[in-house]
Amino acid sequence: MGLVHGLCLALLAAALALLPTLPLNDFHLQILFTIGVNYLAAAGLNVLVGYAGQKSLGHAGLFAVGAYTAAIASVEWGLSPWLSLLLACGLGAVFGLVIALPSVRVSGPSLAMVTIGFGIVVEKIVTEWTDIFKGQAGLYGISAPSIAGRAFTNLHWVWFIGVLCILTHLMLRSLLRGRYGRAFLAVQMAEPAAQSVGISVSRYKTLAFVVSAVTCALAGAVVAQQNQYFNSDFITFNLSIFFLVVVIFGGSGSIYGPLLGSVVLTLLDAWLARWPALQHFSYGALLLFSLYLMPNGLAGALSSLFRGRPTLFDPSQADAGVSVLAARPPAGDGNALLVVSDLHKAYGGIVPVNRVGFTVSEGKVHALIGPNGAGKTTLLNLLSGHVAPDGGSIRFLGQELAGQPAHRVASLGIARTFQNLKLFGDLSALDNVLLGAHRHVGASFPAALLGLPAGRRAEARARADALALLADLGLGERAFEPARSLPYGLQRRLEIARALASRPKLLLLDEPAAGLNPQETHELGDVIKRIQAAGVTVLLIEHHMDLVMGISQHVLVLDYGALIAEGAPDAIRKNPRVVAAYLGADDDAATVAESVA
Amino acid sequence: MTAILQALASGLALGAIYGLIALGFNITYATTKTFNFGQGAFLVPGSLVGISLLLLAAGKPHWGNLAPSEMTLLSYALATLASVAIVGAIGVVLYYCAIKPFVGAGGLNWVLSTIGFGIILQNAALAVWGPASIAVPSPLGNEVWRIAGAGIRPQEVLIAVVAISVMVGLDLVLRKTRFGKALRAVAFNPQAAAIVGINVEKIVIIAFVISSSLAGLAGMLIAPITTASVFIGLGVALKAFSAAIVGGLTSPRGCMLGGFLLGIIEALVGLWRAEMREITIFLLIIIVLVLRPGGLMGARSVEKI
Amino acid sequence: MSMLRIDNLCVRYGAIEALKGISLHVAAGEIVTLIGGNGAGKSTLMRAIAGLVKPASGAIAFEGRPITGIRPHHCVRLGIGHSPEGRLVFGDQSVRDNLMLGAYARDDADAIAADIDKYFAVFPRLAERQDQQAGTLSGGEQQMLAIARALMSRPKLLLLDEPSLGLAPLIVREVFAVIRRLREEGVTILLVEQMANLALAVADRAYVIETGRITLEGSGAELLRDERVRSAYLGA
Repeated sequence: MGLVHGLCLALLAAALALLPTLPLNDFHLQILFTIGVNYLAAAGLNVLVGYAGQKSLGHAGLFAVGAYTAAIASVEWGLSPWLSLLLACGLGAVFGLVIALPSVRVSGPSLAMVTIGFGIVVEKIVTEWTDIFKGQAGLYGISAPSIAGRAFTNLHWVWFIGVLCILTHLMLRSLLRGRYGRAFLAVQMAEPAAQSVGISVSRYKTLAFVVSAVTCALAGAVVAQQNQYFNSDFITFNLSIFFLVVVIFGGSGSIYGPLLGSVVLTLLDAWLARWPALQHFSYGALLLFSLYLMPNGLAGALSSLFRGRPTLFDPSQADAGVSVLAARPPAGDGNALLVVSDLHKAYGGIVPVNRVGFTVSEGKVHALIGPNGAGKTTLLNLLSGHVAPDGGSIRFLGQELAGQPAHRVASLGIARTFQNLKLFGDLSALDNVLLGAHRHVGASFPAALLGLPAGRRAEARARADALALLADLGLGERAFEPARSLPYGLQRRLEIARALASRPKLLLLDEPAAGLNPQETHELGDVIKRIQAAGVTVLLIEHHMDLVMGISQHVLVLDYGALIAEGAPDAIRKNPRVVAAYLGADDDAATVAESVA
Repeated sequence: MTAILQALASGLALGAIYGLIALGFNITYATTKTFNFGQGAFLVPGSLVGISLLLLAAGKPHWGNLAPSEMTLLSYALATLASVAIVGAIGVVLYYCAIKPFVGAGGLNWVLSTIGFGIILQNAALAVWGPASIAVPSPLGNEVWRIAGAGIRPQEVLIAVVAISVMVGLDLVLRKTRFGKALRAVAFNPQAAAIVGINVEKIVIIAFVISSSLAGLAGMLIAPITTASVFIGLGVALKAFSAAIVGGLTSPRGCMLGGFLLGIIEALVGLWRAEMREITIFLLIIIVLVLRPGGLMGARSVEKI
Repeated sequence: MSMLRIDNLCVRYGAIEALKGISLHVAAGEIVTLIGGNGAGKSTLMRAIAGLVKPASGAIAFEGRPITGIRPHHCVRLGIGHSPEGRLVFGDQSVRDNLMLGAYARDDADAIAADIDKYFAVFPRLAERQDQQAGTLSGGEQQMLAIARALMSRPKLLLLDEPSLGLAPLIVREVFAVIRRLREEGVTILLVEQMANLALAVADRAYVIETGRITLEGSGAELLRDERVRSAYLGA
């Protein structure tokens, strides 16, 4: 892939260099320039829409920020064009932050509304506030960059935007192929799971907004400079939609989608310009039909035609890393790791967790049992921070967790799995585990963006460790397969691997044996024993009594929201309250329980 | 003071229009978690079909100007019914083309597909009626009525009366009738609705018909105020969308409240500085959403883990 | 003739095969129970019968007529009532309206009113709360409502999915008393239940289902005595 990518870039550079030898007129050059502009805007928007999963219908506003910054900096303040471009990117970032603030708090149609609102406010401000923005009359005489005193010709503009596009592409590619790209996708695919590995959903959404804002502002600034004129007619709701269409039609979530989208749509637009009525029709038809003909856009449709060779697992890669399970810490001394007291949660008339208190001791395997609907999963959600309690306290290593967000709880060292699997289904098993290790991949944002060696080294190390862990759990051969294509039993195991990769002190397992066959359940027992041996304290919810009794040292029984018993497995088995709750308190059942006992 | 009264009256009428369209958003959103983002385009046939019918009835070509004498309350009412029926039928097409393939698939592809459908509809209207606007007389005459010193246009009164009656009627239907209860059941949980024997898809299609009809009605009501043209829809529908979001997309009464709120704020801000209307409204919306992401009367959604 | 007959039914969710060739039958007037662990496929089977999930292959016949893949509202009209896992009562509507909606497939208004009174007599708690929103009921009351709502369609076959879920032991006892009473009235019931011993005690016949396959079948009494069932599901 790296080779092909380099080759393609070289070809592109060669094509750009050979432009003067081609019989191109200014109209053709203008089309090439427009492709570049649309690519710039779409490439960043793709990070937001395709990776972080936030559909924005207001990016024309950010395009305006860039264009007007470049225009005003040049016309009013007399700044150099190069400085204006930088300033445009900077202000773009600031406005990206501004739009992210309300946006990360809402989702779905409300998010659409916030972004539309932002776009319209900007549109109205630049139209109405004529003292500064000159409205429809526009700003004239915006100075354009020049090199060695020579003003850019149309050809130079194409070269210039070509260079900008290639640099943007390289940076975004580097960013998206590492921990940041993974984290964006994780946020889009399963927020609770992303939080459970310590990813702050709002932080990553904000980051995606900022990235998209910068490239969009840059596109706007370049347009203003090339035109040397900019007015409020550029900024419309339709422009916002157009950017979104470029991303989605091209293939959102693919690095090459925005490229395909901007090339095809710009050319189509130019070709159809002769028949304006048709142009609008085709635009509507494209929106309506391309989505069900190509749900993943052009990039998706093309990649399903040319499926590359699957990456094969090479055991030597795993040998270079260290599996989390290989740790051999001194045995836990049974100190209290987690102290829960008076924990309470009610939903209307139903109280799944009713003033519960217990202690989890270091190094032991704890089982939480109880009939279905007894409140076990809610209790687990309270512990992991996915649900906020109505009252009570959860102290972990002396810190209060009650009311803390899930990603913070995760970063303190509590990992979890989910009863209804929440894997990142489209990502490979390896990427799922790498996401588990997210906090431990030490690549900073600039290092990831610029592809610095430090970032690459951190990524390579994390990858080797993740492969080692996968191999350790018997998933090595499947490391490069998408998580959703694994058999169910292995998906369950992969979720445990992901949780372990975050190197937790306490691991919460929510019905890890659900849906497993007896053989798989048996293997799960062994895995849990190995987790314990690696120094990780475990709290599991489970129904399989054989499993619970075989591996746990301490059993908690929850019934109807209340803790009705706790103790060693043997004592619990004989506890009459537990028998009654678990087997049903009916007279028939009582007889059965007696006859069985 | 009279200026404020006057602004309140036109705000109320405008708000009633927003409320009608917003109610349409609510009904389809409740049942399918989708709504027509291209609803603005549905106002266009709403008004133009009705006007053309009136023109044809008066023996003129489908595009032209209607004399006030050719517009009676009865002919207006009949034309409105006809265009409501036609736009309702377009709603069925919308459902099959732009909603059904994407509903339940997650993501927001339905946003783009409905926008695409709207663009096609708008351009079809452009091909039939052209870009120029048609001035439409009000069936109640264009003479301004003086009420407590304030000049109120009769069409504003008509809008308020019709829109509020339709809203109250729909509210009753949703709360009291078998159909309304079935629709609310589908909204609450489609699978639970299916297992008691409700044909969920049928209810959903009816929801889209109602939603589209409301947009058609709004188009016909507003035409004497804004004139009828291919381009009136977008701005109105966008405000109606804002009204739905601010009031709470999940609450029918919230949507109506949002409509009136928005209309009145818009009219009052317009008194102060006309050019600040949109800026104020959309900034306000963003603030409301930050404080109450589900809207003023909407429910907060909780994801089950 | 069997009221319900299922042959070699397979259901897939994406890559996951939830049912791998299930065959079973339920005769008129019987209570048949399905027991099995979490994720074994019990609820999926119920949902397939009710038309909520489309089978990948296999056949379902009700009263001799094939109903594989038909839509759920047709199932109700044919006489299959479903009280689903998690109850799914219409939380924003009153108890009475929930029952009215249960009779959505019927149009005999007088008989519907009579049936509502009948179930208010069976479940006095629901009568007390008939104007209350269903979402404000306790878990047990919601379960009663879900059962009553399913019965309002006058089903020939009642699918009862996890009626004890999340209920206190005392309430569970009430629910099972209702199930016995329904049997006396001649309602055919297919019961999915985690409390295996309770379910087996009330059932005429039972199937054990594990990871999408039926592994055991027999009369309720036989399975209650079966070593394998006792070790896996009775905590012995």
